[in-house]
Amino acid sequence: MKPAGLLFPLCAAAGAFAIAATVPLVDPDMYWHLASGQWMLDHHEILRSDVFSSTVAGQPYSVGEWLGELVFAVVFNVGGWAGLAIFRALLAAAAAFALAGLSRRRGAPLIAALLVVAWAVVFSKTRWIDRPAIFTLVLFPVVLDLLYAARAGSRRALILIPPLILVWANLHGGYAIGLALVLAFTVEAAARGRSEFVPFASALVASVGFSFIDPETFGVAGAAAHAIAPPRFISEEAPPDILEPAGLIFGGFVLATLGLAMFCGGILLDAVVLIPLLWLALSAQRHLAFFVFAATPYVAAEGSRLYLRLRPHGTPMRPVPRRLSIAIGMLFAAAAVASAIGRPSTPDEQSYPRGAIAALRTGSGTLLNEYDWGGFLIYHVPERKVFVDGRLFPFYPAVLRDYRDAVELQPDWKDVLVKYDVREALLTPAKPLAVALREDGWRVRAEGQNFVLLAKP
Amino acid sequence: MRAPFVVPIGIGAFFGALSTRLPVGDSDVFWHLVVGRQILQGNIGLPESVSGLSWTANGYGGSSDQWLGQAILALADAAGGWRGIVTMRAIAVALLVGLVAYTALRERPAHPLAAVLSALPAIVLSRFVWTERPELFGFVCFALLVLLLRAGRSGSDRALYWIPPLIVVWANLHGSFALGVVLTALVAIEGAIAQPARRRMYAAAGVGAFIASLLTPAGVGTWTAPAFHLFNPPRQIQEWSVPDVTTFPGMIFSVALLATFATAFLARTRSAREAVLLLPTLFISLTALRQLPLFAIVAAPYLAAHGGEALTELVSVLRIRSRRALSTRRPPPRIIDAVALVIGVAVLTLAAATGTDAPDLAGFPTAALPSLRPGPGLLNQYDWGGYLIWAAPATPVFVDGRLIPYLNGVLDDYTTVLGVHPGWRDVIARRGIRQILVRPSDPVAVRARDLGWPIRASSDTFVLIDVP
Repeated sequence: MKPAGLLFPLCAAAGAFAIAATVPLVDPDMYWHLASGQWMLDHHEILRSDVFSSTVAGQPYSVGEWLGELVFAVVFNVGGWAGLAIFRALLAAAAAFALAGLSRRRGAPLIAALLVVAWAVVFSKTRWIDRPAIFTLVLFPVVLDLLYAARAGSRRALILIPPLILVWANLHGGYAIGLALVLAFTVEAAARGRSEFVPFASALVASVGFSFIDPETFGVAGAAAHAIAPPRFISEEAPPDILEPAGLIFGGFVLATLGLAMFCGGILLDAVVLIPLLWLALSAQRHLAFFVFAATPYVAAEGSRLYLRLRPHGTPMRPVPRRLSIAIGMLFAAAAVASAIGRPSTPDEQSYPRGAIAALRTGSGTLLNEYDWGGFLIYHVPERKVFVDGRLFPFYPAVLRDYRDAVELQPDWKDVLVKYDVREALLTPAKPLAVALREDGWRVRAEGQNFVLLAKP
Repeated sequence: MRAPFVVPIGIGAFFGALSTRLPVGDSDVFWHLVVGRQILQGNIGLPESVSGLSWTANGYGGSSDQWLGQAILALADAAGGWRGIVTMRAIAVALLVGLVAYTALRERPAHPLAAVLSALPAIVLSRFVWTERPELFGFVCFALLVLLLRAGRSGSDRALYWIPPLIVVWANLHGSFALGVVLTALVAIEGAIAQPARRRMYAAAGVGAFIASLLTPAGVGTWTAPAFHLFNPPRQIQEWSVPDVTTFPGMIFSVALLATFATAFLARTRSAREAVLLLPTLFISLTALRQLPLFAIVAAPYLAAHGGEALTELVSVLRIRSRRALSTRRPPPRIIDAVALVIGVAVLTLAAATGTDAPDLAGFPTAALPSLRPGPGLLNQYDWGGYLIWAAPATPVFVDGRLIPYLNGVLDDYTTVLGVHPGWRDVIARRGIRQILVRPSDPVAVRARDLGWPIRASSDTFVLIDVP
């Protein structure tokens, strides 16, 4: 890429950095990922069994993200919370950089690519989270960009893909979507002829093979498999609501893609890449970004083509003057620096039971806690084992069922409390169980606007 | 080439007859029936709050926006009881399925099999709206509108003339008319741009459709409910939940959606007129589970018209050798259509005469009825409100499927008590709730048992609790 051609991706990266650096550190899963990474650093081994809960203590499990957790723990040890915010912003910038390059792969003019990338970057803000899933958000456009480069004839790009899949498979379970991308390009290459097919097929075989070079291979596969049967009670696993802001932007991409396809048509590659990703996106909102990213080059290219068709005598785009380009670049860079200075230096814990920490440390016995607070407690009160937390798989299905029966006051709620010998409950005050326990005389040990800690009398 | 009627008549009659074998007893049918009876007694446009169905909706001044649909239901009931309702449902299903199939067949009259396959997702998905409610009439109107809009856009002035009368009927049948008006406006704008010579026709259709939508007892107010439901879908009600493509209806919808994308990418013919119909309907379909069939209905003729091109393109890209699709070159004579119609009506009549003749009340608290106290004071499960309105008129309900009358705090209070949220006992006291009729697994039922409140009646389905 020529230096001048780098300006757009660099501006996109700086813009994404500027936005991402100021996003609060608030993800409930961030804590247990950090704790898991720290445990592995302390013990010099991969965490393969539960050490955080009272309900599945010692049982083997895997979330398939050992390398991602290690990276986050190392970053945190080096830079603290501010370091995490900067690291997340850098990853968002890398994703935006790759997306900007990707957006022009189909020959879109700069202005069209700029508009569509801005749209996609603003959308993807919802997925800039401080846990290993963010690696998938970065690697997806990178691999897709490489595949487009390979399709255009770059063998070097193709060679880079299997090693990337190797790293991805160890970082996060979302690597399966990378394999799916390689498969889609291989199918399309097969339609174009044998000479195109062989290199892509080789890359596919190598990528699949490399994905097994992972100490947690089958755990990762398990993590990836829940795309088929998503646990709906977790908000990010719910189907997308297009009347919500993120869903609305996604809906806009879907309608734009279909509308452009009806006006301008497409090629087989569009069908084999975008159609499965559309289904995946509709299956759970955590997958929305993949369709949006993959549709970016198509929407940018065909959108500008349609514009020219509708306004054939419009003013032609003039190249941006060199001085203006430099000024724009400096503006983006300044915004990124300002954001880095203003990044959060502590997590936003307003929605967590901070006021219960002291009481929890002096309490004893089995604690029943809100699902979303499990990670927070693992990190802040490691001496109290949690009932459930965001790791999901170790608790699925028996413990989760018991947990839900108890907090939702199902007919067996008292049996659940007896079964686990629950002595304390840390809940949101609106939970039916919290109301029932108060009425039954459980002692309030700590209380805030969003939590209540109750102890058995 | 003329599209033969024999195929849509046959398919419509088949599915209409099939629907007579399905249970009757949608949770909303009961209150629609009661309101319909009041309408037949001359109370068109009567505010629902004064109809005495609920004791919490006092002060609600809205009127029924489905009065004609409710009146038709009540007429069917008066004519033949539940069998009459089942017959009416079968006719509506036959019309809906037949219209969907015919609209697809018009696009490919020489390839009936391809047309039927294109319509299949819409037909299967429509199964989820084969309910004995005005909503089903709304779907029939929608399918008819799609046919008229496509015919009108293809050059038929007569089809455009028929749109305003259709909207008048539709606006009085069900709130889904709003989508019809919007689609008509969009097609009219696109048509006027593409065919300047027919601008007046398109303008008449668009403006006529809007004016027609106001010819209801509620006037402009008839737009209130559709607008409210579009922007504030009550997600706690299953049919208003977010569509889920991992469920069966979601998968069928996916088939239609993904096939539409594939066709758009691969077919050679480009057409703005298809986008004008498909894109807004897709948006609406993605908003709620109950809207899913709409997109499949609109997509059926598009897939019939262009799906073959897409397949041909795919076959050529993949260099697969294929035989030409078998086709019927000449449509059957008109007499065959007439015979099919006679047979179809006979099949429907026979099926209705031997079909379901009583509601399926297995999911309702039938055994609780003798223990209900007359007068205000009952807090009931939302899903059972309609049934109680119908089966226990002496005991007005707390909430029911009409929803909008209860948005002024009633639904919040209902949720607080049902879920044992903080202040649940205060709500019971403030509202003067004397009895609670809910499912055994509802938190309030569990809590009431814990507290030793008297159980007046119970079964696997319900528990009726006296508030001490």
